[in-house]
Amino acid sequence: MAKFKLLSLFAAVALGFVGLAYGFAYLVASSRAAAVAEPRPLAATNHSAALARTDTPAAAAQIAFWSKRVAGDAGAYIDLTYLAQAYARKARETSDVGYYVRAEAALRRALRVNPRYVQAKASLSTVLFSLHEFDKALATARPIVDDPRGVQALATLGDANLALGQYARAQAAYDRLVAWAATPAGFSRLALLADLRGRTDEALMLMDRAAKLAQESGEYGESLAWYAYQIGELSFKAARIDLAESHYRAALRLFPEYPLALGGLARARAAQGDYQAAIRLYRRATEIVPQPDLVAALGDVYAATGRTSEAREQYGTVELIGKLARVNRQVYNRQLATFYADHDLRLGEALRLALGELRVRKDVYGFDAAAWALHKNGMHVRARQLVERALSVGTRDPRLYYHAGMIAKAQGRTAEARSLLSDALRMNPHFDVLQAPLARAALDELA
Amino acid sequence: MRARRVRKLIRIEVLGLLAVAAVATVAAIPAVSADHLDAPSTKKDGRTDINDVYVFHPGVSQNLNRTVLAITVNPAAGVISGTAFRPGARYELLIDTNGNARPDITIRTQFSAVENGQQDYTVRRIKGDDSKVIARGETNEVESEDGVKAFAGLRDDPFFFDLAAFNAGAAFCPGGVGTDFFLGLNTSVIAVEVPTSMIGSGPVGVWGRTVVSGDQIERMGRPAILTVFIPPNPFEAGSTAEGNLEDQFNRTTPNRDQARWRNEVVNSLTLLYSLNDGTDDPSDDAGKIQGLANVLLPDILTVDLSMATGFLNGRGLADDVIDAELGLITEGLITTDCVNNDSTFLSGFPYLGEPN
Repeated sequence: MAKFKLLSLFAAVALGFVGLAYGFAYLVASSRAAAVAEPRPLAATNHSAALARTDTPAAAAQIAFWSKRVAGDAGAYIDLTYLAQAYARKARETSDVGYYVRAEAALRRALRVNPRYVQAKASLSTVLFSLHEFDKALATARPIVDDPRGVQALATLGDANLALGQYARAQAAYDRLVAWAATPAGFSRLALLADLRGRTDEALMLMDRAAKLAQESGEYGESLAWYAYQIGELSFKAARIDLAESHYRAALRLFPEYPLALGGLARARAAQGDYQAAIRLYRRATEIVPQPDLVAALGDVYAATGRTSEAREQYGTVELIGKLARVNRQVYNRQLATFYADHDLRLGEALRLALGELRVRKDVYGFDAAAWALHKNGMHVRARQLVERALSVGTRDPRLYYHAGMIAKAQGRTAEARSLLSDALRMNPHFDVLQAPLARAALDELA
Repeated sequence: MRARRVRKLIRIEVLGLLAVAAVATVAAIPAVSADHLDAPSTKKDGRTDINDVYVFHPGVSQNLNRTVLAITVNPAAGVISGTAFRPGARYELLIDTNGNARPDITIRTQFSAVENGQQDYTVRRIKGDDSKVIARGETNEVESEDGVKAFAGLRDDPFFFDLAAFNAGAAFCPGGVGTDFFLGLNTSVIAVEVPTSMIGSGPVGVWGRTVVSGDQIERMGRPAILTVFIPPNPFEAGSTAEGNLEDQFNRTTPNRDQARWRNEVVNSLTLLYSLNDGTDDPSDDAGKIQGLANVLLPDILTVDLSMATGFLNGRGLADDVIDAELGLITEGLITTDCVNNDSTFLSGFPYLGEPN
């Protein structure tokens, strides 16, 4: 009640000085008144074990903390939103989509308590995107992209449009995101878009800038390692294998059991010819998360070293995951379609999956996957149409050129095939353990 | 984890398939796993995100010869944010001694990089060309020398507020009960206790700011001014088309507050003052609103150092600043968020409670 008195007194004093500029008169009146060619790898920050517990809160600790608070108060929608964000972080760290499912459930609970909570809606749009529910992600994001509290939704608006092949719309969203604040989240997205458009140097420069900003702003763990991993990816695509290796290693120093970076490093080691190291790394990655592309890549290295039964075992696992994925959210349809087509397995299924994906996502890799599956099914005319759509954006990805070259070869367009296959091998002679040698063999055949 | 994944697999009707696939890794196959699309989310650096600013005379009987100045950062330190301070950043408490809303004295703290879980720091008092180190030390230890005490480190967050009710359209006290969002949360504090004469004698104005590479990142005087008045807030949606008003507010200086931000304060107050129009004659609202806008901006915490402190004269750790402000900004319609201090304060410096 004392404070109520204080408050009335302040109000009285305040109102007594209408028109006065800031100064201390009212206080006196009352005592109680009232560009980078070669990005340098990110260094790991030096935290002791003691402080690391709190200075760099782990996702598991965050999940435990917010779960406990939510258990004590069912209406705690802000806590539920933080819990969901912790789950989403765990999903990123482990590549286990089960955590995204939990994040979605927590956010839906939060929004039942407070349907106007913009932060929860923004997080929900992001989680839906990660679950490849692109239309739902867009529908959730669109109404709040003008609200500064929903700036994450603006990122998702761009991401979903990127995934759907709506590049101009993605660019517009990312431009707004960066104009809003010069954040690593914005620059890294612009980098991915630049890469897709074939502007590799610009992409590398933007991602390096994003990585440095992320480090300066105190990011740690997977949140920082992701940038290093992406620089590795961009470098690998440009055939700068040693540079890629150093960035994958930087990512692993920042976040040691990072499946994406383990996979990247394995690919780099394989490209350098060290298949034994590649096998060890792929095994570590797939033990953390048997992601189909990683399992398939492990099988490919086994195949390349003549260990065919072990290769077949891995391919069998990919097929199993394919069957699981069908009952789930079809997060993997595209990876599976490409896997089947690459290995001449279940080609009818590859085509069905790729064309199904293309109905939803008309992006570079949607056209590419469908073209490759069509080609493997002997439908070269339609394959050519689609691979040309894939190439039309300007993406400098050797895989696309390899696919286009093989399609041209199948159609007897020899000169074109030669040029496309040479392009692919020039971009990165080691772009794939099994497919790069096939590209070289096809080129030799044409010579 | 592995066992849970297996259970999940069974749940999703693939029991038959498991038998089919005689492969080593099958037990670890999650229901689905993520691909590589996910770019990071937009985040803020908690280390330069100011939570609160406090100015008070210490002790139960309030020793007027001594003054404590404190600034807190790292929201939900150790859970949402980390606990460290940003190396090289300037954490400043600015003191206006002549009422022109410009700093005359600066108490500046800067930190080294984290080493073995600790940071070294230096506190300077800067007045014109005169810059003196008044304290040095290591984080999480009380330092005391030549009449100056300093502490920088993790503490229980003294702030208490029903944030959930506020964000649900300021729907406070459901069923007469509030929920203190800040209960059990920590913060990183920089606190100094100095002879009062070191910062002034009578009325002064105090605000805190964080500066990185010469750019002001955040600033704050009185509690929650930005939260309540700068869109988006529960009363005004705000729009990204207008640009980042929160950032703009944070990057401007108090001496320009009246010119730049008065409209936002008046807009919010106009809405808030209309809430009681059913029972209150609104004809005098406009005048009251203009009067209050004169006081709320610039966003500076005013304190007469010759008197006992307590919000709105400075701000003590236990002061229910939200209740005080709610009454002011709603014309007495809402006088409380139904939550009270949850902290157990120390009797001696740095006064803030032990971390949770």
